[in-house]
This record gives sequence, structure tokens and C-alpha cells, in this order.
Amino acid sequence: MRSLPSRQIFFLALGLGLSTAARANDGETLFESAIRPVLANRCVSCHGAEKAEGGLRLDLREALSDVVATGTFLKVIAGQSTAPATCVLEPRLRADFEQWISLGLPWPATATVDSAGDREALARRHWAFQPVREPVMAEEAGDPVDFFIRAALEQAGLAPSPEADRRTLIRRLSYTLTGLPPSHEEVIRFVNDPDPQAYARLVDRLLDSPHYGEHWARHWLDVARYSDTKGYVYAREEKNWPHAWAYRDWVVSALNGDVPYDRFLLLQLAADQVAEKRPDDLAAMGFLTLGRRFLGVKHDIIDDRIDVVTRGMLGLTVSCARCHDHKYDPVPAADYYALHGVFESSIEKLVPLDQGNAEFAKAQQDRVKALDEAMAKSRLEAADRVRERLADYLTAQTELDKYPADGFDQIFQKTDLLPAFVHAWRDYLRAAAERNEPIFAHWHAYREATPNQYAKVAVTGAHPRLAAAFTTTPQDFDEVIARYATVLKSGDDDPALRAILRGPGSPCEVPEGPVVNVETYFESETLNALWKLENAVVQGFLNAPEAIPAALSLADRALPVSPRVFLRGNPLTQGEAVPRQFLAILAGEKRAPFSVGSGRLELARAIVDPENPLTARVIVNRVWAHHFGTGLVDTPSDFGTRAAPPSHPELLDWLAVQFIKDGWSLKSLHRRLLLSETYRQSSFGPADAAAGEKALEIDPGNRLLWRISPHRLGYEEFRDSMMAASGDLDRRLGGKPAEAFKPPYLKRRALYGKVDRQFVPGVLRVFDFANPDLHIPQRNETTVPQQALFFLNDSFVLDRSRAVAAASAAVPSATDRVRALFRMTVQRDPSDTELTESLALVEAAADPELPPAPPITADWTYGYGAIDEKAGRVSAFTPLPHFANGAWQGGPAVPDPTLGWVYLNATGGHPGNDKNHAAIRRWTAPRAMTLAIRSKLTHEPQAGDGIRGFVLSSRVGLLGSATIHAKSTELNLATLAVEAGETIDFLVDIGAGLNSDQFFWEISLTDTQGDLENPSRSWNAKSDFPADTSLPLTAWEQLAQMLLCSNEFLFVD
Amino acid sequence: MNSSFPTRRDLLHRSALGLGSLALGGILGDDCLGAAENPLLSRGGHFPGKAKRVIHFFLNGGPSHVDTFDPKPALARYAGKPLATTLTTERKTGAAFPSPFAFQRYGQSGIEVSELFAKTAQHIDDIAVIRSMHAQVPNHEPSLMLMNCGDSVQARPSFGAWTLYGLGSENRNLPGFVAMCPGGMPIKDNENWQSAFLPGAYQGTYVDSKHEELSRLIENIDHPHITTTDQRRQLDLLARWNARHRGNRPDERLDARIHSYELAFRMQSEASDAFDLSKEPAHIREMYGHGVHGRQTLIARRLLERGVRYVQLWHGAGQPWDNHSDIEKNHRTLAGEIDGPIAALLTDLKQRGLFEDTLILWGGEFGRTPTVELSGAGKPQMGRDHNHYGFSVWMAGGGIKGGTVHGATDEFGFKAEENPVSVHDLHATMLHLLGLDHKRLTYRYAGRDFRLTDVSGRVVREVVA
Repeated sequence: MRSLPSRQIFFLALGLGLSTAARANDGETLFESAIRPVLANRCVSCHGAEKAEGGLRLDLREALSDVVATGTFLKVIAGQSTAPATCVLEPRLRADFEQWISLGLPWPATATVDSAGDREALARRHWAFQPVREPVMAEEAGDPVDFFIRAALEQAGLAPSPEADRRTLIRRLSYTLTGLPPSHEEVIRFVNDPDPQAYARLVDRLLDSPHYGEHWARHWLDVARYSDTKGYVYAREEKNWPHAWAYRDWVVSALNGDVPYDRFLLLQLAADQVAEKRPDDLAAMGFLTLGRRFLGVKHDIIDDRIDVVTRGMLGLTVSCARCHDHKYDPVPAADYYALHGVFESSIEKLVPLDQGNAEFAKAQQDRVKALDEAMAKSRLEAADRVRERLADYLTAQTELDKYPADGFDQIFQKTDLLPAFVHAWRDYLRAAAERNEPIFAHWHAYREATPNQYAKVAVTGAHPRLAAAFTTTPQDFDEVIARYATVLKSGDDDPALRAILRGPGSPCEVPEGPVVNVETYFESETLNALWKLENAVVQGFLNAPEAIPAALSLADRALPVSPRVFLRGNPLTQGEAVPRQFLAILAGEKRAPFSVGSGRLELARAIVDPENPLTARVIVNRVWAHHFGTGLVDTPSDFGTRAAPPSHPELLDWLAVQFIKDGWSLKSLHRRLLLSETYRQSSFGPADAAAGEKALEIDPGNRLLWRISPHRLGYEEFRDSMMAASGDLDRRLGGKPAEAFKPPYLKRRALYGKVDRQFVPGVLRVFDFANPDLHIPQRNETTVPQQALFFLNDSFVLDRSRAVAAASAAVPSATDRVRALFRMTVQRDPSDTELTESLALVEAAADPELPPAPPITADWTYGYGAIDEKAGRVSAFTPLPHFANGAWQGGPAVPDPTLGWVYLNATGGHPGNDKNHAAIRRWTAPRAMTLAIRSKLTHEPQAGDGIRGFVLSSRVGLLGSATIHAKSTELNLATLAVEAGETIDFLVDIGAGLNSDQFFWEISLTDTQGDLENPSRSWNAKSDFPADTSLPLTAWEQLAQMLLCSNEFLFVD
Repeated sequence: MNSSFPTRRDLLHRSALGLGSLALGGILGDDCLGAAENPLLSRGGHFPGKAKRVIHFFLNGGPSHVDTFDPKPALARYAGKPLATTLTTERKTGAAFPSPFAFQRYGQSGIEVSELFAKTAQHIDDIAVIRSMHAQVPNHEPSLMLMNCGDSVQARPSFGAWTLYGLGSENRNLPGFVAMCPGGMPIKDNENWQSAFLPGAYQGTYVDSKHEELSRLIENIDHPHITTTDQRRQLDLLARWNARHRGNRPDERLDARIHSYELAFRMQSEASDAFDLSKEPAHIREMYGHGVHGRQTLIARRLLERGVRYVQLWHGAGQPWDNHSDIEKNHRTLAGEIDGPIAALLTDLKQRGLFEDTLILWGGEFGRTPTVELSGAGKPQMGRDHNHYGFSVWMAGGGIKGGTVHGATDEFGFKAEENPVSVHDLHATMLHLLGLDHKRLTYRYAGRDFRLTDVSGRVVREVVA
């Protein structure tokens, strides 16, 4: 087994202040800062006073010293033993232990190792939880970014690299700020700009570009697990989100407008409760509401929201505390459920942000009204059913284990007891017990007794009606239930009794909220009906002729939920009640329960409080990581105790302080980073080769920034660059998502391609796109051959190669054309060698051919001709000469001056202008076989007089025909023996006249009796239709493709 | 050792390899790319495993255990009568519903198997049947996720993805994890073979085995727009440009990408071979049968012998085994489609010497109720509802103790009673057979070390040889 060398070891050796151990020059400090916390948190739970596994205790120096002496200890923590994986420590920590051992195991006499207490103490000392402090800097220190970076470099004996050349700088800046390449002209202008402020002006110009917001929005969408769909849902629910794109556009516009980051977060958490806002700010709530649907399971939806908020905004992993107190970070389960309560107290609310035209507005109003009315009626019916079966629901309280939790889906009839109401009653009765509610005093008293003790049960202060009902001792608990049912049902005249069966908070009523929040309170038939109406509303937005933005906001429940800890994360085993409040580790001593509604706004305010030690540090670090490749903290969404400390702690704090002083302005932060000399360094390393080698040896990961790490374009960047290279990129902002993975290819930025979290296309996966199910702080970067296959053979890259070549087609001389291609793709002129090489390729590939087509595809040809109706034969067949935009046609455009309207594509086509130009899709039998033909011919337009369709065999003649107008018809044949070389033609002509004659024709042919040598095959007109690759790539296109494939295109120095 | 697996950090920071690999930059062989460059690089596990590869027959929809590998004669005695306990499942069920299929003892071990899998049963002495499986809820979606990814709801990596993370792939020219399903996807679609927080390269590659053409089986493997000669000329030019660009740039990602083009060029010809069944002799094709299942099973064998680590064969789109009604007809048809191919695969693996180190898993996401499903109006549907309380799977091949029955359901087959085996236990056992310790196969994500088996899982030693 090979072990990968670790960067941490190297830092340790250097003593750069990057490891706790490295800072400790004295043994006891080392013990306190690096050894004791690890023993306390990682070792003593198994090897301590309570449980000394294997007879070994690691909370005592003597015992530890013994296993160190035998060498066992170091082997175990290095994983070189059979001990469990939990005993294995990270290289950084192992190095700490090695150093500590080499010092002779210094252990202060008073020191104790105790896990629980130490974990808290350690956490309190953890750097990320300390207030952000502005480091003191000398006046003459110069640019602070450079000051801190240089200091660490000097300490390591390294020097920075010289400034990069201007072509590199403009490419680097353009990509990092806008995700787009500069044009060749922009490069030239910048390179030749005599103004010493040219660089700073360029930074400003790019920050002012609307494409800045698009590019940085995508970074934030990774954090926000953005998707345009809900992921897997049951068939009853619409799977597309109606609001995701409006959220995406809101993020773009907020970033372009440099909305202060604290407000940016505030709106995403609680725009519904922020008084002063723009109408479209409600879209910001998409951050919370566009996660996966988790089949509607409430606690999973909430968990996803807690995760995206805490990791995304605070760099803290709170979700771990769903099942138990966080193992490493000071987040008890009680804190998780404090936040759980905030989100459980919030319901979803779909709000249109634009009314659309009058017709749409009216139709949408009707759909909403239908839903609201059905909902009100269904709620009432559901509640009535519970009230009717009160005794049964009370009985259910004695056998709760029969009722599974949310997530165990049963199909229910109206006659069934619903677990949701059973649990509502459970919660209601428990709350009643806790506040000593007199109405249920008898209930609880008898519940706690056995029937033979009933005689001794004494209840004081009971509600008079119940006191009256219990003047005699009940026989058994069934009788208790019966008496309660009677009293409650006849208590309409008593406000206290009435409130139990009716009104808000009653366990008989369906709580407020849209279908998704109350699904479990309805039996299956009603639920399906409600979803249908809800879908109609959602689909109203989705299918609106104009893009109608909508927000899926949250709204506070009238009665907030009082959360309880779920033991081991299981909602059926509930523990202590906890108030809705902020995390203890961040709130400190002034923590108080949230008091307004759900507490969501208070939560948001606590997150953006300038005193919060995490929020500013986390975003400053994210921005740093995007510009420099790696964050100062290299786990951008985990600032917890297990994260490695920052490489430059003072710099991180300095940036965080300035960021807040600058009014949380992201654009100011960008300027601070990009104007530094550090950022302007070359990526080649120091001019002096020896210095470069030394730097590579000491700091191969470039954490110290002795150069700029080259940036490999991510999926969106290279897709947009390929579009831009030919000048085809459509730079308009905003709007509904569109299909981006099928020809004709979307010319807008990749940001506007639809993200379906359930069907992430292969290309996105292969290029490490952010998994839309998970909050992704930093994308993976892998190199796999599938990526190369994409660049070589994918129809998108071929499409771009053709477009780039076409854009240079007008250049008269070959030499100049090569030059043009280089300028379009890599924004520079070719060298003489490159020029010669390029021309050689163009010459060698001058007459490209297609490789032999695979069978099946080759069995189809596409042409035009006429039918001889008397003979029942095709009288002429000429192949269509031109392939473009996914269709065989008469010329580059339709209609063609000579051949007219005739074309054929994968799903159908259009006949030519007269009967001699019928569209003919021809299949030729590769061998003798027995065929079954199934086909469906469709003509849609009301206009015109329709079309005529014929199926003809070259041997047998007419097999079927139809004349249709605005309808579909099937032309099938159960069996047909064909011989090798026989053709089957699918012919469409214009009928009586040329008008609206486009058609669809689904065709499949199946060999019904495949034998051993020729296993059963089938042909399908649609899937066998050639992609846009069916013309050979010309020499110039081949050259253009190689430029797009080059490392120079994909990497930015 | 944990350190033999690429960590997230390694994957993010290629440069962890440092100068050592730069020196090798000039002689780029396949192995000069570290795991950080190519996450599929083959590597050993925690300890030598008996199995090197896995084939998983996924009978999606949920095959009935009491009609296949878990005979329950008591059902016949109670036919038409209600059972004392009927557990809550998705829908309502009624009286005991005896299996309409005949069971018979097979082999030396004398394990009883129903007529539905009579051909597979010829191999029973090499099979270990676990009759005491249980899952968590009686619904397809969460149960598929649990069986494939070890968690009912959250996005977690699938078993195949974990296996690739642990062991890499032995064939650099083919995907390491292939999921075949004829005619479309099972429900939950790609989630069944997802990589979740693991790198995308570990995700299963979906193949619609209904097709025969390579270009429809593997994305971008074909180059219909250019001849091989022309493409080679293109790549020669690209290699020159990239080498010049590489120059003195200290970045081994550039080398990795240069290398990947050559690899891709080779893949185009080599991958087509794996899917080309015309290369198989007639008697082998005959043995597997000519239906789509015979074909996909035979392709699976060709993939496995070429070093693909994990092949999952789904029965078909949606949930074909979900026979809520008329189970006699439906189960008979479905089993008829796969019994022959499974038996053929077992025979074929044995004759090729691949049986000993290939782990074969057969099962669905859960089993079915021993009671008859009722319509809303209470009418028996002659089918069975979902049953997660108890069901059967079987394993054979690499490291499995053949002729074994482990665990048992209750008298009627409703609930796992004796030696219950959870899905986590099953996963722990499979990983163990592959040489991976399920407690040490961890991946740091969101500040936590995740495992396929979460916080549980026990290796079922009783089925391990």
C-alpha cells in the first residue's frame, strides 16, 4: 500500500505556525495545546477511567509511557496494526505525538485528561471560536495581504515570484471575476496600455461587468445546493421547482449590486420578515427552500436546511448533532433541535413576484382558489373524522408502537387512523401533563396506575365536567377513554373543552401550511386530489408563456413548535424540550431563547452579528479560495475543531475585520485581494531556477503562495469559453433555465442550463460539477479519460469546433486563418512553429472522410422523391444533400432556393413544395428477416389541409397510407418478410397544397425472429437518426478542435 | 491503512505528490498518475480479500421470499385464514397466502428452493442463503436507497462507489462500476448508483442493455465524425502543443491531462470489445439465452473478466418484481427471464476459474408479505404487499460458504426472527469479502468520517468460508 505524503508534515518540519505543535517550543505547552486535546477527545472514551479497553488507559502518563516504550503506540496511531480505524490519527497529529515523545512525554503534574470537560475547554480555546481581532501592523508594512504572505514566505526561506505578464494577468482576472475569457482585442489593448493604473482599472471594469455576478453566483449556488428540480418525488407531486431560477437571478443581481453580505444572508434566511426590502427580495428565500424533497419527510427537509445554513454561512457542521452530541465540535443535540424548532415553525409559501398578463393572472387566481377551497374542505373533513373517532385516537395512545413515524408510507383509506393525528394527540397529551392541565389530570393519573390501583387514584383540581365523569372508579383504561370521549364530545359549550377539539392547536385539526407541510394528515385519496390542485398552481408558473418569477418563501406558523430532542435522531423517541435559540458556542453567555415567531429572523441576526466569530471569516476565506485556489483555511465549510488551522491566521483576521469595516462589501474584498502583488505573481515560480526548485520541495502545495497556482477551468468556464470563442455566446442575463445538453446547443451561459438533481448529465458528473444534493464548498478536480473522450467526440465540442472554424472562414489566406483561430481561442498569435504545424495538419486532412457508419444507423437514408400511386412504388429517390441543425435538408437553410421546404429530422420533418419533393425516410434491409412495423404519424397544425403519408416496400409495393389533418394515425404491420436489400420507404407529401405541412413520425422496426447469428434487432427512426456528427470534420474544424482541446485553453496561468 | 485511499484533500490538491512525480514526468506510464490524479487507480484493500469483483442481480420491486428461497409450509395449513399477527405494511393484507410454487430440495445441502429458480438451484451447494434479512420501511424508494447506499433518505455513496473508492478499478479503459438495466431506469434512477460526496468518477455508469450498439452504451466512445487516422494526426499535433506548453510549468495536472488523451484514444477500440457479444462462441451465447437478460448477463461476465469492479444487473425499468396482484403469473414470468442466465453465469464463472474470486449477490430491496394483498374494497388480489420485516438474499462465489442457510423468518415468513441480518450487516460482510473493513473504509465529508455502514454493521461470519 502506498501512502500519500502529507502537506502537514512538511509544515510541521518548517515550524511555520501552521501546526499547533510547531508553535510550541516548550514541552508543556505542546502537551496542553496538541496532546491533551487529542487524548481527551480521541482516546480516553475507550481507554480511560470508565472503560479501559484492552486494559489500557491513556489518561495516565505511566500507562501511556509503557505503550510508547514498546513502540506499539506509534504503530497504532499510524494504522500499522489491527486496531480499529478510530485509533488512527491524521499525519499532522501523529507528528505532534512524535515530537512530544521525542521531548520525553512532558506532562504537567496537575494535568488531567477528561473527555467531556476537555472537549468543551478545547472548543472554547479553538481559534475559530475566538473573536476576530485586528492584527497590529506597522505603518510602513505596505499592502497588508503582501505583508502577511511575505512574512510567512521569509520565515520559510522562500521568495515570491515576479509579476506575471499582462496577457496572463488579463486572462487570470477575467476568469476569476467573470468566468469568461477576454477577447483578443481586450488583451492587446491591456497589454499596450501605458497607464500604470491600467491593472486597477481593469479590476474595476470587470467588477462592474454584469458577468461578475453570474460567475460568483455560481460559486454561491454550489454552497446553496442549487437545483431546478426537487429530485425524486412520488408520482403525485410535480418535480420541477417553480422558484429556483428566480432565486438564481436574485443572487446574480445581489452580487452585481454589491448588496452587503450581512444583508445578503439576512434576506436568504428571513426576507419574509425584513421590513424594508425590494419586492423581489423574497426570492432570496430559495436558499432554504430549493433543497431535495426527501419524499416529503419533514425532518429530512429540515435537516437539509440546517445543514445548508450552518455549513454554508458559519462553516460549522451542525447536522452531526442530529443523532447525538457532536463528537468533535461543541454542538450538543439540544442545539441542533433548537434550530430544528425554528424551521419546523416555518411553513412554505409560494408567492408570485410578477402577476403576468391579465389572462395569466386570472387563470392563476382560479387555480389558487381551487386549491384553497379544496384544502379548506379537506381540512375540515379530516378534522371531523378525528373528532368522530376520538375514542379510537385515545385508544391509540396506549399502543403507540403500532404507529410508525413520518417516512414509513402507508396507503390509507378514510376509515383508517392516521399516525400523524395519533402523534399529534401524543404531543398534546404530553404538553398537557407538563403544564398540569386540569382537563387531563384524570387521564394521566389513570394512565400511570394499573386497574387494580384505580380505587386509590385521587385527583384534585380537576375540570368540573371530568370530576363529574369520574365520580365512580372506572373498571379499566378503556372506560377512562370512553368517559373522556363523552366529555370532550359534549363539551362544545365549555371554551376549554371546545379548544381541545377545535381551533388552532387542537390535535384534531390539520396544522396550517401547504400540502407538503401537512401531507401525513390526509388519507391517500384526498392527498392525491390536493397534490393535483397544488401541481396545477406550480405548473401554472412553470408553463407560463412569459417567465413569471416566483418565490418559495417561508412564513412563521401562528403557533410556533416547541422542539424536543429526538434521541438518536428518531422522532418516535423524544427527549427533553429545548427552546428555539442560537448555538451555545457562538451565542455565549448572553444566549436567550428566540422570542419572535419561529425565531428565524433572530437566528439570521445572530448569524450576521459582527461579533459572530465565524460568518465574516468564512466568507472571506471562500473568496480567497476562489482567487488563490486554496483557502487560508483549506476546509471552507468546516471551521470546527477538526479543521486544520489557517495557513495565515492573522491575515484571515485582518481580512475579516476590514470586510466588516467596509460594510460587508464583497467587491471591496475582491479589490483588496486582486490588487495585491501576491495575486499578480507569475505562476511559473521565482525567476531563479534554484529558488523555484527549493520552493517546490519545501511547499509543493503552494500554501505559502510563492507563486499563483494555475487554475483549471471548471465545466461552466470552459463551456462558456467555447461559446465565446466563435462569438456565439449569448450574454443576456437571467430567466428560466433551459436544456443545455442537447443540440441545438444553448448559446447562453452554462449558468442558465437546467440543473436536474435527479438526472445530472454524464458530462457534469465527469467534470466534477457540484452535486446538487449536497452543499459543496469546493469542487473536486479529477482527470479521467472520460473527459478526454468528451473533448474528442462529444457533439457539443464538435459543434463548437465547427462554429469556431466557420467564424474564421472568411479569412482569405491560410496563414491568416490559423492566426485568427489562435486569437479566438487562446487570445494570442501562433508562433512560427505553431503556424507551420497547423498548416501541415490542414493540408494533411484536406479531404476528410467519414469512418464507416455503424450498422443500424447505416440502414437508414434520407431523401426526397415522388410516389407513383398507380404502381404503388416510389418513382424517384434522391438523397438530401445537406445536414444542419439536426436535420437532413436541401441546403444550409430551410426553405432551400432549389429544393424548398423538404427536410427530415429525428422525429419527423416537412415535405417539399410539390408532390415531386415528398420527404422520404428510407430503411434498407441488411439481410432477409421477418419484420414488425409500428409507426405513428402526426400532423398538428389546424391551418392548411394536412398531409399524405405512405409506407411502401420496394418489393411488395404499398403497405399502408393515410391522409391526415390535425390528428394522429397509426400505420402498423404485424409481420412482413423482407429480403436483403429491400427498402421500406416512409413517405410524406403535401397532399392538396403546401401549407403548415410539418409532421412527426415515430417509427420502429423489429426483427421478430432473430436467430443465433443475428440476434433480434430493432430500428427506431428517432434514436437511429444521426447526431450532428454525420458530416466529416473538415481540416479547419479539426484544427479548431485541437485548440479547444489544448491545455493552454483549459488552464489559466 | 486509511492512507492508501485518496482523501478529499488529496483529490482537491493534486500537488500532494510533490516533486517526486515531476521527475517522472517524462516517462508517463499508466502508473505514474497517483490516485489523486486518477481516482480509479487499482489498489489493495485493508487485507487480502477473497473476492475481487461483484455482480449484483437486483430484482427491483421486491421478489417474494416465500415463493423463492424461504419455504413456509405453515402458510398452506392456514390458507385463507387470518394470521395471529399481521404486521403493518404499505397496503392492507388479509389471510395467509400459501405459495403457488412447488419447493424441492437440491444438492448435497438439501436446501429447499422453489421451482421458480430450479436452474439456479442446481448450484445451491455453492450458495449461501440469508433468510433473515430486514430493512426499515415498506416503501420502494427508501429501501432501494438503503440496499444500495446504506441510508434510506440522505444522499450517500452507493456500495459500488464505496468499492471503487476502496479498491479502484482494474481496467483503466472501462468504467469501474457499471449498472445495466434494460429499457430504462429503476425508480430512484441514478441515485441507486450515486457517488454522492465521493468523486464523480466513482459513480456507476448506467447502460441501457436493451441496446446493442456501443455508441449507445458508453458516452462519447464513438468517433463517427472522423477517421481513426485523422484523429491520430490531431492528437499528435495536440501532444506537441501540450508538451511545449508544459515546458517549465510546475503543474503535474498538465501531464495528467496529456496522458488522459492517449488513454481515451485507446479506450475507443478496447471498450468496444467488451460489449461485442459476437466475439462469444455460439454455445456460450446459447447457454445464456437470447433474451435481453441473457445478453446483459453475458456482457456482465465480459466486463468482470476485464477487471470491472462492480456490475449491477437490474431486472428492468421501474419495479418489475412489485407484484401486488397475480403473483403466480407475474413471478413465474420474471423468474423465467433470469433463472437461466443466472445459472449460466455461475456455470460459466466456474469453468473460467472466476467463480472463486467473484462475489455474486441476488436479491431485491425487500421481500413480500405472506398474507394476500387486499384491494381498497377488501378483495384479495392474489398478490403480496411489500415486506421489510423479513426477506431473503443469497450470495455465492468469492469467500462464500456454499450450501449454507443463515437465519430464519417466523413460521409464516413475516419477520426475521432467528439471527436477523440488517442491510448494514450484509454490506459489512460484502466489504469484508472484498478485503475491506467496513469500520475503516471512511471518507471525511462535512466534518465527519462517513461509512457505508454508518454506525452499525456486523460481518456475518456464518456465511463466510
